[in-house]
Amino acid sequence: MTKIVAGEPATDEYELELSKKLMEITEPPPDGGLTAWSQVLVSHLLVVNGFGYISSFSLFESHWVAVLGRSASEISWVGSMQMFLLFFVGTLSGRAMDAGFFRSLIYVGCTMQILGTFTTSACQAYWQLFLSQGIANGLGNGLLFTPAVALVGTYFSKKRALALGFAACGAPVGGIVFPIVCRKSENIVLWCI
Amino acid sequence: MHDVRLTFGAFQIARQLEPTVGFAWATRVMGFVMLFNTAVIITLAKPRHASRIKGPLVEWSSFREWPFTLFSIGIFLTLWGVYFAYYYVCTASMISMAAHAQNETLTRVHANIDDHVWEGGHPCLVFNIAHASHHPKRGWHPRSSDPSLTRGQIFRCIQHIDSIRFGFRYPLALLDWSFELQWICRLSDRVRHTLQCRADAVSLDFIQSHHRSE
Repeated sequence: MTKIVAGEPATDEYELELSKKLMEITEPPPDGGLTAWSQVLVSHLLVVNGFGYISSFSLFESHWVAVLGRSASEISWVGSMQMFLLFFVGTLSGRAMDAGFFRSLIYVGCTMQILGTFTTSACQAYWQLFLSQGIANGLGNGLLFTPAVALVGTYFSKKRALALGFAACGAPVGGIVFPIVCRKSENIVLWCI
Repeated sequence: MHDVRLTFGAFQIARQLEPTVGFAWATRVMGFVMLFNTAVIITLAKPRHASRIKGPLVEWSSFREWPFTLFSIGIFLTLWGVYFAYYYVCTASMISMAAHAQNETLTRVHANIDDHVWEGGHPCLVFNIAHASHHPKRGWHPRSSDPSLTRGQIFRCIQHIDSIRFGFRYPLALLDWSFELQWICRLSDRVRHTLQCRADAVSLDFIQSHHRSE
């Protein structure tokens, strides 16, 4: 690989792109502005979809205990696996983001998250639930969580704690929204059917 | 008589299907909410990052910083207790509450709202934002964080009240589970409390010394 030296003109297109990125990263974080705060919104929504959904697991716990006839302990393995994968895969996805795979992580993670949620709605057996909510959703969350946190950190310096605070508030917001959505939509959809 | 039996049978089947059909669609609606969020995420997300191809998978050297190590252990033990409440609150509320109140209980846990606070319309979510914005370790950025001990202590107290509520009140008061679980929760809370206080002190010392050196 060609070594890039600061100050020397870049010859290759790849080198030019890389030198631009290096110049950008040496600049101090903007600490504000529309782009920076829109990344806080992105991070907030990622946390809503991830932690907010996981934190609403109690909804699923009580439902699946009744429907599948399994013990609360057995059902909670699904949520535990989901949570384990979030943090464990997060250690790897953070490094993948550093390596420049942010977009790929977002696409794959969001797809797995949504796939896991929709397949959960069609589950009829314990293994299906484990696969959809525990594994698919857990892997999706794992791919998204660390990039969500790291993304805000690159845009803020002085206001980093505040920005991360707003992003982290996605967990309680999701935890408030999802149970309400579930309660309301359950009744509405039944009425429509 | 036959019609009555048939009607009664159909009614029974409908009653049995009702929660299943309703919940499946409710999950799909949650999926659509996530889909909408994803559309916004993909549209707006813009990484500001240079590629780092080389380097270790895990930066173990971070643990050489005592504040970071203590904070890691503290947050590990905090999360240990937190999700007992999140996972079991609806199951627990099935024992003592009406069906319609179960989801509301979950909402209250997330909003960190107590009964009397709920009536006053004073959700602690605001405190969480304020706490996050003033706590040095949340942003892990000692240079620009506020090293004010008094303010830090106030927000730390709020967090401890929150964590005690999460860690103790809901799983133990509602479920009244086995002695072993109670023992684990209490032990983890005590160790976590001690370590986090220590981590606070070390990190504040670190920040103050950093400011002095500047």
